[in-house]
Amino acid sequence: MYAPRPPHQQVDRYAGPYERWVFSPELGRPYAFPAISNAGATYFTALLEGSDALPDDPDTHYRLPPLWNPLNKSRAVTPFAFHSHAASEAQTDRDVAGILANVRNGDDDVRPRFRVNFPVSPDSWTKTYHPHCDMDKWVVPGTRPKAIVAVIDDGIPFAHRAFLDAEGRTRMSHVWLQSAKAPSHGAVPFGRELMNGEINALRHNAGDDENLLYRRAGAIDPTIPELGQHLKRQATHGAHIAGTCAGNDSRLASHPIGDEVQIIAVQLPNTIAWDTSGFGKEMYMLSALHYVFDRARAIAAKYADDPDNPTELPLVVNFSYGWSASRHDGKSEMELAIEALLADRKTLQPATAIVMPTGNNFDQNMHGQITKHDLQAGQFDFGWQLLPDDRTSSYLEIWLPEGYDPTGLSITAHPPKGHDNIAPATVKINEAQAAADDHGDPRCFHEIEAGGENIGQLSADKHRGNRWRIMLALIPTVNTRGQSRRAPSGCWTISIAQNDAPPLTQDERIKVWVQRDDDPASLQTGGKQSRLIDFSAAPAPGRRSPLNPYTSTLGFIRGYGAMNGVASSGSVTRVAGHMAQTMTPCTYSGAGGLRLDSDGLALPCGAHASLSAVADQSAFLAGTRSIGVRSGAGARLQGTSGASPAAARLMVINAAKALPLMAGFQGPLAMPDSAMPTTDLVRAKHAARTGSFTAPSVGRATRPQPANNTALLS
Amino acid sequence: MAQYGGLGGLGGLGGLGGLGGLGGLGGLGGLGGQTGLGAFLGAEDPGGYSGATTAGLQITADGLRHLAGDGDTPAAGELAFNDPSNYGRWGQWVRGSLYITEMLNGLDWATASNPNAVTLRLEGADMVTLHRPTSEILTQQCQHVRDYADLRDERGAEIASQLGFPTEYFAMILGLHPAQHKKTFELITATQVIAAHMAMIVKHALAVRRPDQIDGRILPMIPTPGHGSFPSAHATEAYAVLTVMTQLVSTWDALNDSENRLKMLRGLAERIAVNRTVAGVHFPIDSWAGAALGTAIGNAILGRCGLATSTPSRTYTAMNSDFFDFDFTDTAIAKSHGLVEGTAFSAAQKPAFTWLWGEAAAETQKV
Repeated sequence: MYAPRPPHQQVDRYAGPYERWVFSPELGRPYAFPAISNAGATYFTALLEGSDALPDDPDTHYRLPPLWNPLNKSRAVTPFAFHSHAASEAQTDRDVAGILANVRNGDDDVRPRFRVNFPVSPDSWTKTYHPHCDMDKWVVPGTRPKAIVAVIDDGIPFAHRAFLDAEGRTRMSHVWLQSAKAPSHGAVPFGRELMNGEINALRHNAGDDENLLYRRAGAIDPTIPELGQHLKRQATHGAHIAGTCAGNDSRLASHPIGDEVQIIAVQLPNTIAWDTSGFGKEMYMLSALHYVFDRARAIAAKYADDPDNPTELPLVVNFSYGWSASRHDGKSEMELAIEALLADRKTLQPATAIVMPTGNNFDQNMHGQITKHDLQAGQFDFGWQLLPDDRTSSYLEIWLPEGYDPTGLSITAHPPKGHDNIAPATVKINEAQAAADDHGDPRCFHEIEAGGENIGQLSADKHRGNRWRIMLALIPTVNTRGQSRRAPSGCWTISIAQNDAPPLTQDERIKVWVQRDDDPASLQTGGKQSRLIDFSAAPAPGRRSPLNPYTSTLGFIRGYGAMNGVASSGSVTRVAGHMAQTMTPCTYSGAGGLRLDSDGLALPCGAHASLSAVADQSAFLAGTRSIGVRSGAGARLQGTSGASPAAARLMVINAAKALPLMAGFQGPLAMPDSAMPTTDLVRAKHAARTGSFTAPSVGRATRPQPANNTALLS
Repeated sequence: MAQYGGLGGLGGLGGLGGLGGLGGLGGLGGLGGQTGLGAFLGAEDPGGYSGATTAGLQITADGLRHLAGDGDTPAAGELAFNDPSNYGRWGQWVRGSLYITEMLNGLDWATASNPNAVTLRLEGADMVTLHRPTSEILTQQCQHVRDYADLRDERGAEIASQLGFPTEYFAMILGLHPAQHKKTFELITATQVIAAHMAMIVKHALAVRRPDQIDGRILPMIPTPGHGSFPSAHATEAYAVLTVMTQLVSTWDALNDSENRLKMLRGLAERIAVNRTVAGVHFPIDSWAGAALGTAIGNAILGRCGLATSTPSRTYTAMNSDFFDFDFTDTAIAKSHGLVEGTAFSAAQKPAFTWLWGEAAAETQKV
């Protein structure tokens, strides 16, 4: 049973359904990231939306990370960290709601929203924080920087020799280890910042022992779970990505990076991929972007006549991260903030880019779209298949079209067959609309119970006050974390009933996304990826034919629209992946959405791929090569995560030469000969998967060809 | 990406052979220790020497015999009559016969119709009654089996290496080593062999079809064994070993983290059972029945070993349930899934098992 909370203890009043699920003990908290489920926290991170002024509250200490804002604009979304003096450890949704109520400052006219994120480990909280970067540990590079490349990732081997210049000094200008132990003084609110002078000294003092180096740098620390021993691994995601976009190595020698390119790196909490909800990461991500922009400006200031008004350097940021379920319209908190940053910096320096992958969920049955034809009979049913032995929560998001009036619509979740002890749950939009105006978004919640215990939460909320979302969260399908409850695995049926709501127009679609729930970074989460089931009788013909990649139909379940859920900002560069040998899209590579107009013509909808880069060498050589963690080590990584930094690398090389960012890129990937017939829809599908440009392949240097045969013979 | 790794462990099946068709009952296994009659039954039988060695021994005898003179044959020193001190003299496979017969002595079973059921009895008392699942439930259970197929990718190495007795998996959790735990391994093997025998008795009587004979889409990833589906012999064996080893770990009193290891051991028994559903050869209800049967057998073996155990008998009438150890171990939840406790039974102490228990208990690593 979910105990009713008094209004000031309702976390959903200030935040959203994910916070309610993750922090409530009766719901998902026992299964959340260990930092949340095992103990209370005192240091939190969050996004603030609707105001960028933090209140003057004696009980709560607020910190803004370094924020880049040379145009002095008011921000729509502000990352911040907070620490409650008054409360003991915040354990549950009730405690968190109490703190947020304070942050809201009692001002009834200001109704900021929050996304509450992972707590910060007390050891990582900087004791004395001065947000201004005084560059005291920074040394002037031997070559004047012409461009900056930045990488935001986990497990970044910042002292790797791939990042040295010709004189053996690091090109890593600034590194922020967000979850390292904090020094007593710092210019970052939590974690540790290293500048190039410190990295050079660490390299010098540790000799060839990089293990020692990273331990001394506080980058390997088993006492902090969010940091841990990831840099002892042979390969990490971050090593591959940082090497691909910024390193020099024989595996990447086709496109060497010159000493005039400096690097800024932000290492997110290494366990950032742990949570399966997309919950908990945005503050770290958005702070990382602000930090990169701010330190890039600090570097430029070192070369400026007027250090307060420097000319911003060209900047390419690679951010190979994301999740699958979200609005996908560029209007999530993160995407709004990314767009604002990019747009502002482009006014100062047009050669600015944030490069992100399209994601790897194209063929995972994780996205569906419901049209007016699907709802013709007044109801549409689809399946959500949960795997057995899933040790993490699973999430399904259903987004109604913005501007659509869903009054009357209802959504019902039925448990898999054979579970008569679980009553189906129905959420009606009317109920949420009728909810008292308590300065939260309109919303309502229904608990799903088995034997008196909570196994699920079905909710409807008007996200950010402008678009309806129906969300279903379910607990693991095995007994885990000492809990006596579990959700049944198998096929849950989701019914959307139109009732007396108006029909959808031709242009409107109800969109469904399954949240990511696997364990790509081997963090031992025990997550298992759920998927959608299409109940319509006939599967699309030839759906997975290797010879004919594009079918001539567009059904409920589709890869088109299975796009990285944080990459929909208009100005972001989205990179899809293709196979180098065949020059065809990788089967997993995320794609933009498509819809059919009343004449049956296919039109793009939502964010699309900007370009395609190599993600696999061939069907038998999966992935691309880059560096491993230790100098000299190599690793392969498969996915669009590896394609994105290859494009970023080429873009920053161009920027340093004052060329257009995409100079040398080819046009769109050619349609495969086998794609027959080439109808309008097939052409649209191909475009949705490949974008407008194709990045040249980055890899080993091509062997110089002898000038002529006689040279060989002589 | 993670989903592409992880199948490197498929080697290691080579160790399953090793019978060579040697003594006694060894030939019955056929598959070299795969299931049922294990390598155990041929262990410590030297077999015959090679022809050259046999001929050489004859020639050597002729050449050396004269050195011992031609006096009288000395008197024979007698071994103790029918005495446990002799057990250690016999080959392992010989003791294997003794363990099996000690268990069968007192074992009895009866079948009933309307509804069809079989009851195993020990010393006249009911141990376990298993009702034959209806074909309607089997049909419903196929959906579970198909759902579990999603885990075949990641469980493949486990499933392939658990075709036979998964002793290595128990050994790693308990820190067993052949040099230090010879008789503990013998106890585990005896438990598995007996559990397999008893499972076959019930399987034969109930004659339940395998999932792949009902729904072709199940397409098992390993061969479907040549016996009925219900109960699962893997679950029976795993839960019997779990029951016996739980008691032995307590007797040893040597592991400071025994509570955690026993949680893992229980998790392993559940996982071995579930892996068979993942593979597509068992229904979840087979695991329910196997877990009930195996727990009873484990307790019966403990009784044979001289440990006073009084265990409730159980009756299982399958419903369309998925199998979780959590549900199985909670009496009230188990009852709601059709597993009901009845009057208690106990097993009489017997000498060979008593000897084996003493030997295994002495292998404690306590210092």
